[in-house]
Amino acid sequence: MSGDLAIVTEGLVKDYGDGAGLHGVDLAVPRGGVYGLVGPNGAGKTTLLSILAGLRRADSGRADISVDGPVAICPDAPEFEPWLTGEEVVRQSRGLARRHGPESAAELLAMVGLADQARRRVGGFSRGQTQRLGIAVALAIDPPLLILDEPASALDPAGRAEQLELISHIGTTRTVLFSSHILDDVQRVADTVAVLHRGRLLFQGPVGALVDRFVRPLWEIRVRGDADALAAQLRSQPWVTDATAGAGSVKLTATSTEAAERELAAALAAAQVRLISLTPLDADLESAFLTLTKERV
Amino acid sequence: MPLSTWWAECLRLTRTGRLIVLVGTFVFFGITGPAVTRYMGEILATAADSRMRIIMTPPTPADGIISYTSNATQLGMIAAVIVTALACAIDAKPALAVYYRSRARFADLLLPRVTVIAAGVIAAYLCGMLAAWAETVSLIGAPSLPGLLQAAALQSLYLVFAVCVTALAATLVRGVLGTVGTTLIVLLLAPILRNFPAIADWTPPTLVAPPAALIVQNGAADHPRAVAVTLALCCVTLVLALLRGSRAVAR
Repeated sequence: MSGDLAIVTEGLVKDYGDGAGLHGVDLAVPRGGVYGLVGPNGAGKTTLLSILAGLRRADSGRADISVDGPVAICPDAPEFEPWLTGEEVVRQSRGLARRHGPESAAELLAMVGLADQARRRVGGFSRGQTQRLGIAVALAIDPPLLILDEPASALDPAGRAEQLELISHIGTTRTVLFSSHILDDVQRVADTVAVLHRGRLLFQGPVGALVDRFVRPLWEIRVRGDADALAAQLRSQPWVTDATAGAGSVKLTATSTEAAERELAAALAAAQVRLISLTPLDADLESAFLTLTKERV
Repeated sequence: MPLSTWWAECLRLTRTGRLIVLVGTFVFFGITGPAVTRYMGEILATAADSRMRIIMTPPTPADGIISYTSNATQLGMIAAVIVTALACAIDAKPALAVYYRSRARFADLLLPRVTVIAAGVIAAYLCGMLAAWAETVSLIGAPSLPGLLQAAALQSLYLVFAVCVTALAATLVRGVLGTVGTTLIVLLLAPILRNFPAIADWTPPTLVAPPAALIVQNGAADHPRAVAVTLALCCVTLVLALLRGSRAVAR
C-alpha cells in the first residue's frame, strides 16, 4: 500500500442480489483530510463503510486500512445506553477502547455543541443531539481514521453547517471518511470525493476535478446593447458549446470551467460589449453528479 | 477518567430499575411463601364448602423455606433470565452493537455483564431468603440453619447457571424475546433429565430439588456431582457464548 493512503480497497464485492450491494469497488483514501463518499440512497455507501470498519464481511476483494490506531465509526443514527449521561457515554467510549485523546469529556461535548447536555441522560436526547454525541464519542478515543455515515442527516440547517465545519476541522488532524447523499455537504468540506452509484465507483478524485470534468458550466452574461451579436460571436469560440441570446443577456455553456474562466474575459473584451454582470450558474457538484451518473449508467 | 465496563454494568443494573425488579421479585416470594404455608389451612377452610372438613398437618419451618425456594427457582428464575437477556443481547440493537463492537473485544463486553448480573441475581435471591427465614421464624419456627445455608448456596449456583445459559442463547438468537424464549425452553425442559436414573444426580436441576432434603434433613443430601456438572456447564456455556459472539459479524 502506498504510504500516503489510509485506505485502499481492490475489487470489493458484496452482493445482496437484485443489483444491491457493491460490485468491484476500488477505493483509495488519502491519509489526512476529508474524503467524501457521495451517492443516492441505496448506492452502497453504508455497506462500504461497514466493511471498512470491520462490521461486515465482503464476499470478495480486499480492504487494507493503514492507520496507527483504532478506526472509529459513527452510523447515521447512532445509539447509546439511554441510562447514561452524555459525559458518561464519552467516558464509556474511552473505557471500552482503553484509549483516549488529549481532550476531556467536557471539552469534547463542548466541541460538538453539547456542553449544556453533559449531565443529562442520553435517553432524552433528540436525534440531532445523538448524532452530535456520536462525533464526540468517536473523537474520545483519538482515532487516526474517523468513518462517518451521513453525519449531518438529522440536523437542522444551522446544526448542519456547524457539524460540517467541525468535520472540516477534524480533517486537519486526522483522516475523515464521510458519506452523504447531500452533494452540497460534500462540496463544502471534502478535499477528495468518490461517487458511488448502484454499488459501482463512478469517480474518485479532487472535488474540483469532478466539477471540471463533468459540469458543463453555464454562465449568464447581462449586457447593455446587442445580445444577439454577442451570442453569435461567442458561438464561434472553440471552448463554447452553446450561447443563447435572451432579453439583454446571453446564456453561455462552456466545455469546461477552466476554459471559460480563462477565455471569457478576453472574448467579452473583443466583442466590445458593455458588461452589466457575469454570473456562473449551476457549477456545483450536483450538476457534475447528474452528468456523471447520466453518462456512465 | 474512563468509565470502566464493570462500573457501567453496575449502573445498568441500578439505573434501569432491574435490580429493584430482581430484589422485589425474590423478596415478594420470601414474604408471601412462608405466610401462605402458615395460613394455608385457614385459607382453604374459608374457601371450602361448609360440609367439607379440611385436615392439614401443621406446617414445619422447612415447609416455609421450601415454599420460597420453589417460587424463587421458577418465577424468580424467569425474572433473572429476562434481566440477563436485556443486557446480554448485545446485537439486538444494530447501532448500539456498532458502538460496542467497534471499540471492545466481545469478551470485554460479555463477561462484565454476566458477572454483574449473576451477582445481582444472587444478592436478590439471598434477600428473598432472608425475608423467608425471618417470616418463617416469626410464623412457624426456626428452620435448620446449616441446611438453609447449603440450600441457598446450591440454588444460587443454579441461578448462575441460568444466567450463563441466557448469555449463550443471546449470542445464538440475538433478539431479547428470542433469547428469553430459548433459555426458558432449555431450563424448563432440563428437569426431564432427572427421569433418567443414570444421570439424575448429575444434572443442574438436582440443585433445585435437594434443598428440600437439605432443609428437612439438616444437610444430608447428596449433591457434589450436580455441583461439579453445573460448574462445568457454566464454564462451557460461557466459552461457547464468547466464541459465538466473537464471530458474529453481520453477513
